[in-house]
This record gives sequence, structure tokens and C-alpha cells, in this order.
Amino acid sequence: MLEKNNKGILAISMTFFLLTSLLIGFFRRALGNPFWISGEHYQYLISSLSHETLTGMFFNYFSTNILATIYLIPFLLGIISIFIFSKISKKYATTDKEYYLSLVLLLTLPLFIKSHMVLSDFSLFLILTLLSIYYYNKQNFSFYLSLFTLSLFFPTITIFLLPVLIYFNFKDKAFTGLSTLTIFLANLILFILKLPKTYSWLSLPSAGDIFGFFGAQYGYTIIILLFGITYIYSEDFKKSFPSKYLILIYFLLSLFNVQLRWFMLLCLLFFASKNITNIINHKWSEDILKYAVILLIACILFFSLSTAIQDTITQPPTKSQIDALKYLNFIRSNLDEGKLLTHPTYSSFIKYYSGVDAYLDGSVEKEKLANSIFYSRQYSKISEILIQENIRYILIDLEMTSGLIWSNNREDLLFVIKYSDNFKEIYSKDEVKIYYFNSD
Amino acid sequence: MNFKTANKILVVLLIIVLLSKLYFVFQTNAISYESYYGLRYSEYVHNNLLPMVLDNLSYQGRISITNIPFYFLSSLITFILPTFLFFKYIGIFFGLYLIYLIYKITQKLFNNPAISLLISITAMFIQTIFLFSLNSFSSMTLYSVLFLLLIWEFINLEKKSNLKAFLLFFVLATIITPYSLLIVLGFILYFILLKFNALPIKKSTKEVFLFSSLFAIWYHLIIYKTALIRSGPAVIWQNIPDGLVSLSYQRLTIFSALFLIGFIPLVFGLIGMYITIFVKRKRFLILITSFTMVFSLLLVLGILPLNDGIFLLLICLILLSGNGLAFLFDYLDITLFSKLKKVVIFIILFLAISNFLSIILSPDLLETQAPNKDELNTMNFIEENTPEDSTILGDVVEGHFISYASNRKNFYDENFFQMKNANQKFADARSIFLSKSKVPVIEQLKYYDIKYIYFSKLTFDKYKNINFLIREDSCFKKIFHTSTTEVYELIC
Repeated sequence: MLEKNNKGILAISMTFFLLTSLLIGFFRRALGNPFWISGEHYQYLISSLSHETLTGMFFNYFSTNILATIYLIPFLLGIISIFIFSKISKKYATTDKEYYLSLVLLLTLPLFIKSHMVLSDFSLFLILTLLSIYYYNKQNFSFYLSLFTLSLFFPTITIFLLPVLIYFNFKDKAFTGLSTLTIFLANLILFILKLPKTYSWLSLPSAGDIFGFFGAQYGYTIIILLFGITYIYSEDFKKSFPSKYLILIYFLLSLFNVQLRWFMLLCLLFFASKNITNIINHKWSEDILKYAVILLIACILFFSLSTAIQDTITQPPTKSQIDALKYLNFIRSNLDEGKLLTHPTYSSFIKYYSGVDAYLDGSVEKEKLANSIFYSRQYSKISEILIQENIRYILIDLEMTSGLIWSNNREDLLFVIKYSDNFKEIYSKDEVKIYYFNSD
Repeated sequence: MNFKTANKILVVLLIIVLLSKLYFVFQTNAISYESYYGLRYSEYVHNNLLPMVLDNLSYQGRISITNIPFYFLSSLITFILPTFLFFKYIGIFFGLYLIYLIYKITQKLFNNPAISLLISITAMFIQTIFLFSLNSFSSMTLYSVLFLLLIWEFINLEKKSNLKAFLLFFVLATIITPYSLLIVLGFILYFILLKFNALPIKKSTKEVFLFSSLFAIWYHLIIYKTALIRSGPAVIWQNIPDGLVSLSYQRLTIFSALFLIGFIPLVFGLIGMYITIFVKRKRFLILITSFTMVFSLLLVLGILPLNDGIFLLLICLILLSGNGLAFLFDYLDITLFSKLKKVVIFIILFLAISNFLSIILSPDLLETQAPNKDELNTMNFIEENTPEDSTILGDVVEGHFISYASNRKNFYDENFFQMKNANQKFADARSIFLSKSKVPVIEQLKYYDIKYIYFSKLTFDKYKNINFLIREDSCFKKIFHTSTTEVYELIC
């Protein structure tokens, strides 16, 4: 049975989260890198992008007006999320083990760690979703308020989940009616405010989206995936026949929508904690197998956590990249105006530090053109695209020449740059180079 | 016949096989082309006690992180045995052990010495198995033995020591090759087939599966994380260039199966499969059937490399053919044709012996598999007469050999995995060899910083009736030649 007083565990969880955040911050500072700010955050810092979504406007307010708080706010959001999550988990968990395990799964979730190092979509999404789930059973004003807020910031997810809400509360017409009205109102406001980018519909995921998020990147989420999905088929899942298929349909849809993926991650996290607890508690034919499985799960969790921390510590922008971009900002007034081409993952912070527009802005067409520049060794072809797309600067760092784009520093575009007089090296320090393209 | 007599016959036959394998291996001073990478890697680990993450010679310098545990394990043994001897001869002993395991498993499954012996004889004289790891050693060598060991331990899972051995072998199989995921797939199909046959799944089987699948999936997702993110599902084809993928991942057809697997294992194996699923529902045979189905399906879909896939499929079919034979013998016993049993045995033995004779009478069995004396001499010349950082262009198959024997950078080799420009390099190498126009050839060579081009018997055989520009143009100077090889230097 679940002991209702688990304040100690909650305190430990929050302390663990605090220590993880401090550890990441400490090591980033030690390496000379700025305290980690995610790519999306830089986009919000660029005013031209910040008013296209409500989340952008919200973050922009904090970023520009209370800059010092941008490190504190995500941390506080994380603490509150842990608190609400523990409340929800306590409500649904049947044993102490299950409750503890769900907290462990959340705290070691790479996405949770990374998205609470700085204000991010997920940190806001998590707290609003958890609030909606928490108040769901109470069905009072707080629920409608949290649903309304969630719909304002992330309308897609509430539209996706509305059929489920209606399905499970079909007989409670007042509740379903009010919920629908709340979601409708929020969408109406978004419509009036003309914020089309707030909606994110189904899109084909790249391998990186699926493997990066769903498992390969850290392995940990594989636990959620395997144990969460198999729980639906276990005997303990005593829901009605359609629920299983509903969850599976939503799971499949989630592969094509990032917000739904975040939501499903939460659901599967609860299922996984239940499933793992059941597996550990059942009578094993051999103890050695039981300990081997527990040890393996512990290893997977530890590995996922340590990799997530390590990855966050070395996440771009690094000190050497920032130095290069600041130098570019310093000298760009003496050079012709144009865009900067580099690896797409660096694009988000280019403008902030250098004042120069990054060529790659998420457009698939531009990415194709960029690849044809990166992997070409024909000067005529490269120069034609560079002129056509107004690209003047090319930033290349060690990561890019060590497998991110090229396997060595003599390949394709690098070869052309080396032997062409039209590419002038304007910066070279700490394995980061910036080339200026002069078409004349 | 009792088991004692069968054991004695098996030992005699294994000695014959050993001697005949040694006869072939003694004919060459070299090992197979692909084994040179393992040899170089193991020597590196042996000397430095560190993995060779930065490989300066492969692909003119690359980072390589795949299969580190396998090469580490190999190098451990080289502290006892000289590395070259280990890579040259260990495959023979693994091959013999494989036959012994087939014998032991069939003994346990059918409890019939005649059938176990017949199956083992069939296995040892099939060309695919006879040539298995002859003069070479790779992760596949170790994996195929581990695969049979896993089946053996699984059959005896009720003992605690076997359970521990199963876990150990599975972990070992997982860290040396991604093929361990095939075992997971096999288990999934096994559960489906058990359900299909209304047989309960044992608790211990479920638990073993839980550990194995979790470990295999987690381990491979970590190792192949970057490759999966960059290449997606294409990672299955290991980034093999378009020109080669159709050869390595040929789809299995009924004719290629008949040719590569052989008549007896294919026919009796399929009969055995049918009996397992529809007539005598034996739990362990269902497991082997599910492995057979997984390998066949992946081969037909072109997802599994043909050579490796056929070998694994063959092992399973051989085990299942015991079931087909047992069924046939039982059936003949209850009919008036019980004397036909002897005819069947005679036919099987006749086919096995004729297989063996056809192998023994092939003088050039290892000729294309390993470099000859001329090639070794050429590499010695290159090592002594070219600058240390020079790159040698040869055939893709010879890449590892060039790097090991001449200690020079190869332009490309068969380790395509995680090489972004492997396809481009493969196409460019082909155009350098085949182009009739001097300017692009020299441009390509300069672009890749290649100064030496190596022509071997393999290259001449591959591009028959082609007048190579490099051999005729004054920009290329022939600096060394033997009766089968030539080396050219770019002098323009």
C-alpha cells in the first residue's frame, strides 16, 4: 500500500534536481562555455521571431526584461513540475515503489534535464499539462483555467486530446461541453491574435527526431517505450478494450507530432513505472535473472542521466564558437552584407552573437541547397549557389570536420575553400574558422 | 549404433576435416583480405593497450568506434598466441567446434546417435561450412559459435549453471555484433509460434527474453546512436556503396538457396520445419524454426548480408533436418519399406562424400580469398620505397591488406560504416580505373592526394579487357611489377 506521507522522497527529488542543474552549470562555466541556453531560446531572443507564437512572446518578456531570471525561472518551473508530478503520481500509484520509480524516471529523463536548464517549450508544456492532469479529477474552475492556459500556449495538444476527454466523460455532458468551450475560446483568441505558428500539426519526423528523442540518444527513453507500451498489453491494464487501441493510435500519431510525443512520454512514463514495479515484484524463477534485470535497468538509467548531463555540458554554443561569432560581429561592418552558412544546429545562436543572419533557418529547401554546397567540389556550382542565396560567410569548426559533415579537413567544400582565392579566411582560433566569400 | 561408437566416428571425421583444412591453409602465407583489419587492430591493441579509435590508415584517416569489444577480445588471446597465427588458424578450430555443437544439440534433441552423426557429417562436408572462417577470423566466426552455444544453453536452461552461461554468452554475442538482435527477433517469433500452437510460455523463458531483449536493444542503440540519427533505417545496409550493396545484400531466391545451402539440409530442413509446426510440436525445435523463419525472411527482404545470412540459415536448417530425418525413419519403420532407411543413409553419405571430394579437388579454393606471394612482395616494395604518409589506391577488397602489409594509407576499404563519403569514394575509384580521359583522372587523384596506384590480379580480373589509361599514359610511371601485380606513380 502507498504511504501517503512521502515528503522525504519529494525533498530528495528536488535536491537531486538542484544538484544536477548546479553540476551542469558548474562544468559549463569551467569549460568557459556560457550557461547553457538552448537553440530555441536564442530564437526567442531574436525579436523578429519572438512574436509569432505565444510561448515566444512569453519567453521574450522574461528574456529581455528580466534577463537575470532566465536561469532561475526554468529551475523554479522544474521544481514546481516535480511537485505536481509527485502529487499526480501519489494519486495513481498503488505502491510506494511505483511512486518512487515514477519520480526516478522523470528526474533521469534527458528531456526533463535539458529543458529545465533554460526556458524552453517543454518546461512550460510540462507544467501546464501536469496542472491540467492534476485538476482533471477535481473538474473545478482550476481545471478549466489550466486547460485554457494549455490551449493558449499549446493548442494542438488540447485539440488532439479533446476526443479522448469526450470519450472518457461522455455521460458528463456539462464537463465535456465546458471543456470543449474552453478549448474553443483559447483557439478563438489565438485566431484573433493571428498567431498561426502556435499550431503544430502532423509532420514527417526525421530519424533524429525519433531516435534522438525516443531512445537512441540516451537509451533511457527506451525503458519508457518498452515498458510503457508492454504495460498496455499486460494483465494489469484493466481498461476497456478500445482504450488500448486509443493509446496505440495516439502513440503512432505522436511519432509525427512533437507535442503529442511529449504528452505520450508522460503517459508512458506512468505506465512504465507500473510495469517495472510489477515485473520486479513478481516471483522470479531464478533470483539471478531478477538481479540481472534490475541491474540492467539501473545501468540504463544511470547511463541515460550521465550522458544527458555530459551532452548538456558540451552543448553549443561553446566559448570558441561565441568568440568567433563576436569577432565576426566586430568586423562585419567592413565587409559586404550576407548570410552565414554553418551546421544547422548552430543556426539558432548565430544572429544573437554575430548580428549576421544564419542561412539555415529550418527550411528544407535551404537545407538541400546547403548540402549541395557542403558535399560539392565544383567551384562553379558552389559559387553559383552562394551568390544566388547571398551567403557571404562560412563557419566551420572541429565538430563539422570530424564527422558532423565531413570526415576530414580536405573533403568537398573544404577542398574548394583551400584552393580557391575567392574564399578568404577571416578568423581562425581554437579549431573554429570563418571564411569570407568574395565573388568578384 | 550407440553414442560411444558415434562419438568415435565423429572424432575420426573431425580429424580428417582438420587435416584437410590445414592442407588448404598451409598453401598460402597470407590470411583472407578482410581479416587484415582485425589483425592490424589486434596488433594495435596488443602494443598500445588502447582501442584504435583514430585509424590513420583506413580511408586516409578516420575515426572508428565499431566492434571495439570484438577486437579487444581477439587481442587478449594474442597475448598467448602470435597475432598472425591466431587469425590464420583459430577459424579452423571454431569451425570444428561448430560441428561438435551441431552434434551435441542434435543428440539432445533427437536422442538418436545415427541421426546426430548423419547430420554432423552432412554439416562438415557442405562447402559453405567447410570454408567457414578458413584462413580468416571475424566477429561472424565467434557469433555463429555463440549462436549455437546459446541454443545449447537454452535447451538446458533448467540448470542454474546453464542459465548463467546463457546470460554470459548472450552478453558476449551482443557486444561483438548487432546480429544478436536477430536472436531477440527469433524469440519474439518463438512466442508467437508457441501461442499459435497453444503451448504455454515458460516463466524462465519470459525472464530470459526480458533481460536479453532489453540488453541487446539498449546496447545497440548506444553504439549505433549517431549512425541511426544520421542515416536512419539505412544503417541496416551499413553504408555499403550502391555498387556493392546489391552484391552483399543479394536477395535469397530458391535457386541460390539450393546452391548455397545444399539439397539435404534444404529439403529435410523444410520437412523438419513443417513437422515442428504442424505435426510434432516440440518446444526447442519451434525455437530453431523461428530462427530459421527470421533469417529466411530477412534474406528474402535483402536486409541481412547474403553470406552471413545463408550461413546462419544453414545452421538452423541442418538442425531442423534432423527432425525431418527422424520423422522419415520413424515413418519407414512402420511401413513395409523399412529397408529404405539404409538407402536414405547411403544417399546422404554419398552426397556428403561427393561434396567433400569436390572441395578437396579444388586446387584454387583460397586463391581469390587471400593475397598471393606477388602481392605480399609488392606491399613490401611499397613500404620500403614510398613516403610514409602516401595513399595507395587499389581495389576496395584489398584496402585492409594494403594498410596492414604496406603500412600506408588506403584510399578506401570494406569498412564503410559511418563513412559519409564511402559511396562517392567508391564511384571515384571506379572512374579513376576506368576513365579514358587523362585530365579528370589526374584531377581526382590530386583531389584525394593519391600518388600510387596498385594493380593486382584482383583488379585485372575485375576489369577484364579494359585498357587502363594509367598503364599507358606518360603521367604514370611503373615503379614496380611482378607477374601478377603492378604499381604506378603519378609524376605529372
